[in-house]
Amino acid sequence: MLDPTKTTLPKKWAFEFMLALRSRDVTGTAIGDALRQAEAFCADSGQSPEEAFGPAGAYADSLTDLPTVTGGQTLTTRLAPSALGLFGLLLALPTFDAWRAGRAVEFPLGGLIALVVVLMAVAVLVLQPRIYRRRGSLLVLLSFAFLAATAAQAFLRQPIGSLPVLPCALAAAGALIGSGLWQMRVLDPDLIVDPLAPAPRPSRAFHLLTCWLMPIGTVLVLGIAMLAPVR
Amino acid sequence: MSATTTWPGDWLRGVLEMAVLRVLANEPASYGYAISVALERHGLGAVKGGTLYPLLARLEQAAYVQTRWEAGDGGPGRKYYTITDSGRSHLSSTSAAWCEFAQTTASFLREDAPGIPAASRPTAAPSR
Repeated sequence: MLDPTKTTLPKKWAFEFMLALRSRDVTGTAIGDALRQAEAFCADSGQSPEEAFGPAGAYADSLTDLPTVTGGQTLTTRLAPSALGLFGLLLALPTFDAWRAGRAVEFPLGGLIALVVVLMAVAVLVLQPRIYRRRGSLLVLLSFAFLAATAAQAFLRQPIGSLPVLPCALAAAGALIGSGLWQMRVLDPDLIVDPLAPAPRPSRAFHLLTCWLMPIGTVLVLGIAMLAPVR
Repeated sequence: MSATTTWPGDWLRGVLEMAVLRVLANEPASYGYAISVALERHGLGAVKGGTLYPLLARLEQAAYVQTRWEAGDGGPGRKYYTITDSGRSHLSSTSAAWCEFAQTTASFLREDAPGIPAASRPTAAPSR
């Protein structure tokens, strides 16, 4: 794997270049190739990357003939299983609380609004991947989503509906297991490959941990929730 | 023209693909910076990496060149480009067409070129 911090190019330029190519779904192999070529040209010519190639984002945009990942591995499809897992986690928490308290699962207005805000933020990130390259806009989006979701959950606690524990638990478990199985099918880390180094081989354990991150995280969070008083 | 001449970018864009393939046709293999130096040495001016590499990627995608990486001996690793038979064929056909076009244009642009319509010359103001 090509370590972005170990390039001879200025780190800021190299990072922006890689991010711009990644946001266009260029393969990790092609990104490593393009980065090493830029390094070599700058070393040979004695020019800075700005002199030789111009701004990192504009140069990345000009490389229109680099191979991109296939349809099953785009940024959108890589995020979808994680979104399903996140849904499972968010449903598992109130379900677990309700089961401990022996009542139905309540859905507060604030929780619904927070879910909508998070989904909208994810939609912006998926549909407008260029936002990753505008740090200011990205910061504003994430800050707004975080504040809006937190405030909604803190101040809008009135329930708008409730469901029995069993269907909620089944739905949460289904979403979490489904996200893990989906990740197992589609997850390809697509690492940025150094063309001059042997191809990286991520360990099986790391792959499994990545695929089942949401279910494992949910179990840990529920374990911590056990310590809290019953509400 | 000297090797330091700067040609208009529009002109260069039209011929750069052929020029790069010509450089590669003359060498067993070459890499980005060496191609850029060869173009400058042959009077095409300094070609920036930001212009050259997108073109090389396009040539690779079109299978006009093959590539391989070689570790540098005390320097950076380099990606070497070798022209393919398909690239040579493309170079041959586009070069022939370009030479014909350039000859036609040069002939047309000569001041004493025959056949330029007289109407294009400025006319005298009408007398009152």
